[in-house]
Amino acid sequence: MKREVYSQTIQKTTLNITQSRVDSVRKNQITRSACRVYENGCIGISGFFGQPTRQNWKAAEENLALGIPYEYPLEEGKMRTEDRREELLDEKQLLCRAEELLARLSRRQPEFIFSNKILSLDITQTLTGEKGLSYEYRDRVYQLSIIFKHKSSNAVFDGGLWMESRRWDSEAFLRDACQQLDAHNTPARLPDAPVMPVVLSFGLVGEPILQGLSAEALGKGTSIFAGRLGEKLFSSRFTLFADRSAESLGESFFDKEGSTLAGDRIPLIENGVLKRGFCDKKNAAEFGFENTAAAGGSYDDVPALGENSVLAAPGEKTLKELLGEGEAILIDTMSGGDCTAEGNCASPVQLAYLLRNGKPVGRLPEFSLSGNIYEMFGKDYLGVSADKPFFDRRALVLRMKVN
Amino acid sequence: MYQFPKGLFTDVRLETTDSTTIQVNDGKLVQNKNRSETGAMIRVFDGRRWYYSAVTDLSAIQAEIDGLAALAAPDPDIENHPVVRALEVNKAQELRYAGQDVRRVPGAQKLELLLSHKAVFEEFEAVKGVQMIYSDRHLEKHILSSLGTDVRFDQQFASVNFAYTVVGFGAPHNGRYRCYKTRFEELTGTRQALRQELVRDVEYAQNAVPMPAGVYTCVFSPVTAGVFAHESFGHKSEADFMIGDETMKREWKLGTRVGSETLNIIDSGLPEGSGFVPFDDEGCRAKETYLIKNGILTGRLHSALTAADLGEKVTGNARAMSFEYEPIVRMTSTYIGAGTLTREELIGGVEDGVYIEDYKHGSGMSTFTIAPNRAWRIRNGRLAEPVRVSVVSGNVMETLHRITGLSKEFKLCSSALGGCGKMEQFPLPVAFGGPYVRVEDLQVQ
Repeated sequence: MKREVYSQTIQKTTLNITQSRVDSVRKNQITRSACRVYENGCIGISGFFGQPTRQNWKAAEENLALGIPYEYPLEEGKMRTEDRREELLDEKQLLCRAEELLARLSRRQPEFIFSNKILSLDITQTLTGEKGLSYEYRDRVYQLSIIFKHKSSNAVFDGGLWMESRRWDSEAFLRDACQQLDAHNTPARLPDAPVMPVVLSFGLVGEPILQGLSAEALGKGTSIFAGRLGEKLFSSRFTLFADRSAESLGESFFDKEGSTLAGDRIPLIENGVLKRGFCDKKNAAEFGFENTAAAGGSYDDVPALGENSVLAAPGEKTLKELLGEGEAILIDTMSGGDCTAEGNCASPVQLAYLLRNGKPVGRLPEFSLSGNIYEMFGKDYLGVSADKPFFDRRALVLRMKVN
Repeated sequence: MYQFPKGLFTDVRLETTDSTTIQVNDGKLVQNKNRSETGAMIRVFDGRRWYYSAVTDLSAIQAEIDGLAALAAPDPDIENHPVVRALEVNKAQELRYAGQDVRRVPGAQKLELLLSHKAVFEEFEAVKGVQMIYSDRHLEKHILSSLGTDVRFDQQFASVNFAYTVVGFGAPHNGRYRCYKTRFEELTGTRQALRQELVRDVEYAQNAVPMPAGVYTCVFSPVTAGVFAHESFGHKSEADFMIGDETMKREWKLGTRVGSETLNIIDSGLPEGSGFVPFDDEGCRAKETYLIKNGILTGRLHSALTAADLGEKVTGNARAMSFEYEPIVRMTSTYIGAGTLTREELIGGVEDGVYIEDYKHGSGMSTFTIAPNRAWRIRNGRLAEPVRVSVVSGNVMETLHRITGLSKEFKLCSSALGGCGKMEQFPLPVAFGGPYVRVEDLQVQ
């Protein structure tokens, strides 16, 4: 019988903001672990709070009797410890910086009410096995998830100011927040052009691509990309990585099976060519695909195919260079949209800004966007900026129909 | 049980969750686990700020209370603080599922039930990528407060859930069937219901054509009407967005007409199902709250904090996703009240429109959206060909006035998977539903 222990400790300090001030402080520190035992091509798991006891191992052995197949080689003789934390603020320092930030933001933008959360998230994940497997990953991320509302607005909220980073940077946040809020106070007219360059994050439009990249769906023929591995489906400028590098905040270098990636990343789509789907050990064995370290699941689950954290590769041009001198649309809030199986997508846009020379200059009225994913990431794909123009994030630019 | 510090309001919410998850993919067992978790959320309020802590070591609760109290500034008059005065003080023990507890059902019986559906899928050659999940959960909560609240109650469900893809007719079509009950023994008739759903999905995948974009009259099924009620209006009834906001207090003044005269929208934690919340996470009893009555804005959903701020009563809607979170204002079971027409009469009144039977997801801010999973064209008052629609949308406040018919058939829908999201707290179990609802002038894309 072989044994492994997976463990994750999440330590969170969460500050709740109501009416532009911190009205509560929440502390959580919870360790969740799982004992895993393997024998005769089966796996047994027992999950619990804290560190393993003899009783937990016994429960895992009892679970083994249920006969859940797991026939894939375990990781052995591998050691790596990676601590990606950069700035460590304690609770008092976090509260102090948050209160100072909110005070400055309110002074500079007195027409707005701010709410929601600021939090410090400390993550530790370990995977250890009897035969020399020892992985440990640590990270600390500060999330500023502040929503804003103009005092005269009758909406529940108007928009969000989102920033996530390993270092607390009040100045960068205030600069970008004030730039956005100044634009918010300036109504702008939606340009007449039927197709416009749109600046957004991959997550807002990439879901149909991610769904299609499941190795299981590719293998079983249920993916929209089934039978098209190796084909050039998108623009040569479009490369999408499965990413476990430091660039992906809070993403461990190993997956739930202990699989890792050479250089911590691998292209799923490379220069427009569909190279591979995201894949775990099971689907690699079943369909002969390459494992992309995409095993996921809850701490006490049998590891199973999840989704890789993905990263659309940046190009060499800044946002300003990608857009040139023309106008563009910066998307802040776009929700409720979907795509048909043919890849035709449509979504209302609840909040967007007009960009000139890469800077937000006015708030646009509500509208909707549509496009086909093969065109959006094909002939209409302009690229990902080399710089991080808004809230420490790169900007993805593509053309879409404005309705 | 605990020493509550003087000059502070304190409460402790203990939760014990026992759950089973069994998953079979394409006939192979991939998960079979029982999980048991116990934890507590501790809250301390000094009249100015709340201090929370989540713990899993129950022997550390007293130390944690004392630790939070050390951060707070005691107020000798805390019991007269408006927020503290808004709280109900209840003492009750309502263990509804004792004796019918899903924990007493052997795991082998749960697995056997799930596997009994395998044969149904084998009847359909075009159906691939079959995922079958059995899921149950028993949750017991015990809430104690420095005011004297001491309530203990339980919640429970047992469910079977299926997801699959229909292939071979052009674009793949994803289908699902889910059955949610509050007792294991009630999970009957699911094979026949699954078969009917598969027939419907294959027929849809074979024949669905793209729907020309435009503005149409739409008829929502009860489940999509429920999504509409939840997303478009329910979230706007959560009073936390009004705290200290004079504009919103004026805008959402009770007594304002917000919809057609036939429209009632209700939230209630009383019906059994995924929105059953006999006591909220501050220990306040569930209530039936009319948000809209005959088209008039009548009520809103409260925690003690929001009730105190608006000078209203608590409604039993302070809810947390788990012991790791503090309660905030959330919905329970939210539904549109039934009307007087039949489903056929509703559809019969539509010359050219869309019937939306099932949904993938919905959203609602100033614009609401529903992404249909299955939809049919309505021509001359009858259902015609199935159609592919990416999104149906409309302005929330205009749409409430454009409801022109409600059926007398009514359904409240519960689900074991997924739930409602509000900022960091996702998913929270809720239920939603309503009658068949006819709405004019929606944007179909």
